[in-house]
Amino acid sequence: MFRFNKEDWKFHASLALACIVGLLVVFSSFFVLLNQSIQLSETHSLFSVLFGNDWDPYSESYGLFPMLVGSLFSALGALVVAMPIAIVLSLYVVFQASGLFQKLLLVIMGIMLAVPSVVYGLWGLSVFSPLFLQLELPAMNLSLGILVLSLMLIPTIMAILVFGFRGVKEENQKAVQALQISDSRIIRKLYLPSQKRNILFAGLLALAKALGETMAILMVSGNIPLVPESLVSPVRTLTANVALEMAYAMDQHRSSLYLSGLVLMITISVLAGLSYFLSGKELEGSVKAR
Amino acid sequence: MKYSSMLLALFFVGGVLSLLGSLFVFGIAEVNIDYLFSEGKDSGRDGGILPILVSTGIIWLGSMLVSGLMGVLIAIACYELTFVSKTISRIMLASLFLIAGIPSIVFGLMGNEIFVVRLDWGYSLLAGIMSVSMMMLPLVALSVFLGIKSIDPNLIKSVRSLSIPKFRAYSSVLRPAFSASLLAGLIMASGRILAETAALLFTSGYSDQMPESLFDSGRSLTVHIYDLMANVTGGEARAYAAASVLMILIFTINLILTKSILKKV
Repeated sequence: MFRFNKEDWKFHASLALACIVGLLVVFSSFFVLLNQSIQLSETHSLFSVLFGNDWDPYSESYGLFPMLVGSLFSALGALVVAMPIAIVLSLYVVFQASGLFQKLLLVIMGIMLAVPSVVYGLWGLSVFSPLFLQLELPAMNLSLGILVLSLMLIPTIMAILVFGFRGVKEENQKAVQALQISDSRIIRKLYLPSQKRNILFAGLLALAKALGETMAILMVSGNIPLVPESLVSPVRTLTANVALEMAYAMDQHRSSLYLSGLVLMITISVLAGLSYFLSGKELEGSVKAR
Repeated sequence: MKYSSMLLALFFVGGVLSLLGSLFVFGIAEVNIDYLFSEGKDSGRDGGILPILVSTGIIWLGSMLVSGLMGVLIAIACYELTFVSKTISRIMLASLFLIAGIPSIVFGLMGNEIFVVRLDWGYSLLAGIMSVSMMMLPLVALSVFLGIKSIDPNLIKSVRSLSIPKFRAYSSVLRPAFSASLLAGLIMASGRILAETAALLFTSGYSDQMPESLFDSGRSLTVHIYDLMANVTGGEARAYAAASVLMILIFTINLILTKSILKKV
């Protein structure tokens, strides 16, 4: 099938050039992250950095453990909150809502996907954190972070699920109508089980997005580098840590931030890899949801 | 079950609409011609946002150009490679998928080290453009690739059997068939470029002066909002104003591009 024509050499050369430039940039980025992280390991052991409890750049101790815990708690918490809401909403949009209301829901989903994360942070800070202050709790804390993050995850998960549910609806619509089975029963017995893989896929993608989210969580979660004691104590995530200290970090301090970037990237790559194997034909939906 | 989920949906719609409404109600009062077309004073508490709008526009345009061009080329390369070796093309697609998942703050770190420090461009618009286009590249490329893949195989067969030079084939015969998916990819990318903050913090920088060249630092609207909220006391009203300008910008550009996609199809 493939035939190399001589007159096409310019075309092929430009394709090859684009690929080489792309590869070069990507590999040099990986190299940069690795290189900076290795510089840190000359003076600090990896174990002491990843599981050290003490983050104090002025006395050269770079324990990332509180930030790891903060990232994990806020991402998982947001996923736990957002997942059931998104599943119910997408079921409702596809199977029960009709006419104008259905359109409205889908438009709102699109709008929420388009809202920048810094605007979510703005909302969280000016709408929700006064409520926490009235309850005499810290104005910026873990649960506010979870709240704002889950608001961001709901449309992401919905976009993927709506895509999948529409597919099974079209496949089975006639049979379902002919058999006169009740809505709730058919959803429980057919539609939900058939979308198990898709739901898992959406969850993984959402988790990756939540772990990588920076601006919103930076603005609302308090940024104190301690392991959180309760749902209302302030936390700092890995991403927020980088965003806060990058501007003035030097040498080892800077390297420790690159290490946290590397940790983030590896975690998220694993999640993305898993979701890639799960995706297959849902690739299109997943590209849109991002 | 039906009514409980409807209640949830109503709650969702009401919540989001009230949040959007509050944004515009608080924000739009501050926005006027003077605000849009004058320079900022007193670190953003007073004056306008013209330099910031200009930097945002430059970053948007540059990133759309770079990621669009590279995205199309890489997507075509992926497609052409399927005829040479399916595995290589699959590896390329998988790595694009992987890059699409990397969080923006990590692109900020990479961009800072490569463009700002190693290439010594300093905090500059160009560094910002490059970092953001790195982020958007997989989005555009995957979208275009899916578009090319869904072209009628008969069309491709006839193009090949007529042995039309490939550049002509892609630029004239096949382009109408995948231009819709290219536009779709660019629409997604455009919204995300305007929404990008973390990757720009350490690449294009904070300066709120009018940029004079691509190597000048300039802050985007999103960075401006963050800066007003985080570092400027009493900047909240101005942050709301900037946020409503940003949202209007995103929706207008989205609408215009979507209109043009509907014309194409």
